[in-house]
Amino acid sequence: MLSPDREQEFPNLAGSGYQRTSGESSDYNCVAWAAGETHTWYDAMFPHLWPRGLPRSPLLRSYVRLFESHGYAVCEDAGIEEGFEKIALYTDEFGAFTHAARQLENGWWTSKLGDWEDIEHPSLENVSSGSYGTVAAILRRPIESSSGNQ
Amino acid sequence: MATMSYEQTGATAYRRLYLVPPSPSLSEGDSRLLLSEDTASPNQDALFAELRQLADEWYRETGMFSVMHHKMMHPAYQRITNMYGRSAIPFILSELKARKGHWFVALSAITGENLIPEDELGNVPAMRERWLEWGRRNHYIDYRSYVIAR
Repeated sequence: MLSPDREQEFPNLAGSGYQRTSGESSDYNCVAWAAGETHTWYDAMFPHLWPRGLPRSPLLRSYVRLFESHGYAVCEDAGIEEGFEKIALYTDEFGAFTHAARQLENGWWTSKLGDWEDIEHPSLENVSSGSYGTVAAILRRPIESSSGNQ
Repeated sequence: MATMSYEQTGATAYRRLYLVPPSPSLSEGDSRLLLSEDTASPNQDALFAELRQLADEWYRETGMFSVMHHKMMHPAYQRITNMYGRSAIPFILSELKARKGHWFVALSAITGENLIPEDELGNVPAMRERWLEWGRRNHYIDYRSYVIAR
């Protein structure tokens, strides 16, 4: 479990049955974690890693393009789909990207909470409505093309 | 840029400011700039106490964010970067070493330096070490009494 002060940042998390699955780390962020990496901080803001040629913008479209460069494509449904792994991207009220979560084989989702811990949670709504806003895009990629998943 | 307080800008307006302009930092001759074990003064202690309060507020209120445009737009981060400028460098470097926060944007904005080579972008431990080495080389990491006090 997260500490109470951290848990309260996510109004739909308490009582969901979520699990904390790591200690805290500032060495990687939710974007890296969603892409299956734990040694990188992807961020549109210099001096963090960002694919060459993509605009360094905080808006959703730029983060969709980042994940497209990792083999993902936008899809409609967040349900389990055999042969695919999925991620969900969240935005705030201004359309700025806030968070990425990755779907697990059992249908739960895994999230790296900023500089805080990783958690596994039953639904996308568990980390919405607070600091992360709402889900704005779902993407998927064939499991065969994934690289280095944790 | 004139520094705006959180109260002046409102809780959401700061999110719209996506760029940190060069800091109108304190002058090079500011007596608080050169910190060392032997020259620590009540003024310096007060400076570090002010910065400690702002930094703690920033960690507490932005630790859940995975993207820098949300972290750096927090009023406390803006105040440290734009109001304190170079006088905050010893404190920021000690934070970088002790708490491993994401101070890279602030350090670049204050100093005008871009230390991170292309192949280390997003590699947080390497980025951290680049700045700590810069601090040692430029005599910003001398304030041992402060480090011990923490």
